[in-house]
Amino acid sequence: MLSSMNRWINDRWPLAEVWKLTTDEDIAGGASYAYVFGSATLSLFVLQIITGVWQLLYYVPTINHAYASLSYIRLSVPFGWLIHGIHYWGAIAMAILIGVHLLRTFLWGAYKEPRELTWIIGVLLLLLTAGMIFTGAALPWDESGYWVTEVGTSIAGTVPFVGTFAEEILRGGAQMGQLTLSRFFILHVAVLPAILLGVVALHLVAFRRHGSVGPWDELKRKRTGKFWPDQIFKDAFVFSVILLVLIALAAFVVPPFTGPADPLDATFHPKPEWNFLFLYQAIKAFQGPWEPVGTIGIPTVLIVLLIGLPFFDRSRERNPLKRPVALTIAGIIIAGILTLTVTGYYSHPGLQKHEFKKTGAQASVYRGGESVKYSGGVAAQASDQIVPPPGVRVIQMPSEVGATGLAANMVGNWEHGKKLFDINCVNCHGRDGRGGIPNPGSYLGVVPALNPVRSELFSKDPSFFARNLDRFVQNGAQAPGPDSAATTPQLSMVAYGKTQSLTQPEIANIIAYVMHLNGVNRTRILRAGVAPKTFFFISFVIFLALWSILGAFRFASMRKRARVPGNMTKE
Amino acid sequence: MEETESKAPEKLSQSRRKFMKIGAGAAVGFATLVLGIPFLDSMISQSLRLRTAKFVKVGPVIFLPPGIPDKMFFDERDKDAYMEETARRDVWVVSEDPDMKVFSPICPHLGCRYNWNPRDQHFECPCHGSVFAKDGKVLHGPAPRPLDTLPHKVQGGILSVKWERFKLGISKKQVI
Repeated sequence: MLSSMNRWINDRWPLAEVWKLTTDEDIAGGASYAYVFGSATLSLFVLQIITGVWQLLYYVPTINHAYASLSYIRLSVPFGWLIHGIHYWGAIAMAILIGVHLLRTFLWGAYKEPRELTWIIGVLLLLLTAGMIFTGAALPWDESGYWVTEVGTSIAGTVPFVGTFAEEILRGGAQMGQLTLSRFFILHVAVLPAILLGVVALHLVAFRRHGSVGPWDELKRKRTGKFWPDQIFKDAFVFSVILLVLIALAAFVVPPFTGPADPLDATFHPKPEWNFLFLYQAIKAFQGPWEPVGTIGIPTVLIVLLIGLPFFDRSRERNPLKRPVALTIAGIIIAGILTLTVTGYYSHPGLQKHEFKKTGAQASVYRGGESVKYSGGVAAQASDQIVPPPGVRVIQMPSEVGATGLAANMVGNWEHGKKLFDINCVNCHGRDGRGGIPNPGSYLGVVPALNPVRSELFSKDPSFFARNLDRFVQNGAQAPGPDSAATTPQLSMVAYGKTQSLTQPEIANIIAYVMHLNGVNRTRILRAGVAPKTFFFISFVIFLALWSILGAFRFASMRKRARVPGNMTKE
Repeated sequence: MEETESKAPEKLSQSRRKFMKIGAGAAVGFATLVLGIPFLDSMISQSLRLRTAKFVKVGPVIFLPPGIPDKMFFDERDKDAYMEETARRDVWVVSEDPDMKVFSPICPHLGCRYNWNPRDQHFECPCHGSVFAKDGKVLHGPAPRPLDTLPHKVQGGILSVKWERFKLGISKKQVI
């Protein structure tokens, strides 16, 4: 049945030939775990495509909704945490694996004749992957992504002659905005993946033409192995390990929620992802007119060195111990990159050490003739408790109960929110929102505490809690008091959202902080599908069971063969 | 007769093949030209369009603490592609009688937003550690030029500013 179907297909489409062409190959020296990195990278790329497409079911590439839609995937879509987590960590794993693959190829001297083009195409793949990481970082339109994109495109702008042109094409204009996100989106999900797929095909054709390079030792080369199934088995085993690691990372090391992008923000300290840290550190070292050396010179030199390597090093010697010059130079470059990465990781420029306080007119916004001065800094006086008449509500309500703003659906970053709270809210609500600031003329006599918040506002459901708080921050609130001019409450809450004295991202961060003070995590997963840790545990058990059963079979068949005389030589 | 007939088409097909090769190339060239230029233009011109800055009222100068840099906010109608919305802008204003300087809040290095450090009395950029004096001069760090000043005027006690952006990372101040 199967063979007749096989024949039917092969009469019409050369399945057997294609299979032979792609998998039938002798590997000098036999299959090895040293050769798994290329195929591991390729498997990860396929995984990135799948998790990427799945995220597109929910993700919306607009500046107002990108962050909220991604947060929705991560918190409210069943297994969204897994899909996004694998995509996030998969990108990092892919970068690492490409690095190891490149280093392995270098050590084995696999870039030498006749594999120069395989190497150059590989360098191209490295650059395309860097492009994928760069464009992908912008898509959440969160704080880190926004600022990394701002700085990254500005670096492109410093290239002599074509810089401004390149920068404006990337951004879709002089400033970052919707067109920037649209362009990065289309680059990340269509243009670059299409090019990557094509170049991967070129890489594989070149690889298939010349095969694995094998050991440099002539004696070891005498033994040969088969690509299928010897090497593919090893590749598949390693991939299953990588997948398990990715699931573990997605479950235990949640990618940060840095808060929605806020173009006006000056409190965030943007730093590139670890893979660009060495360039970031290099930029800081070259100052004034030397700037382009850091931003353009170093990357260009590295790329030229990589692409030119097969032409600079033309000797046929492959044994690393007999290639001292090449190894020394590579060692210096790698050590340099590692040093810069580590120093970049630990560097804290700017205002990290001490607190920044906004001053005076900071809190005033001028709009067409009228200026609004906010009550933040009004000095409170000792207050006498005013006893309310029976039946009168003493608690504050939002000035307009209905409307929530965009911030209600943005998952803020509480640490960033704390900074903003200490600037904007602490004067009335007290340090850590503990309250106790007098508000003469109101029934309560004090500004309500936010820590703990009033029980009617509290909810364990983060999105519900956020909406409750958002109504106050958007619309402001008036403290009830006896209705006489002499005792009007001195303090009232400004409609921070409506008057735009805080941006929506800022409000989202402050809400996240107030929720944090009340013991509610804004980034709690609402619908997990299966709880992350449980899911990892299940995957781990399946992984162990699978490989121990396979291992047991292998062991049994080896013992069986060992008992049959004359069969030993085959092993 | 038969021979010439069989030879002639052979000869003909030689030159015809050459024609067909060139023709195929020409068709591809034609498609590239009539589609390529418009497609490229739709990508490029849209990005390079210039926006012209106008003076926008920022606020009463009476709020400004003398000698202390202060950040002021104002709103401006901004058009981003098909979306027209109110954009919030911010500027740093240093008011030192009789002088007033209005700085763009964007670090001239690579576009981050810098802060005033009241303790050390200078501006610092959190991204790559550039430090600027109160008058905008570079004290240290990678910034290639002083803070960018914006055109401004004060009429009837109200400060107005022209919101301009400048090319980053070069020593010359160049409007974009």
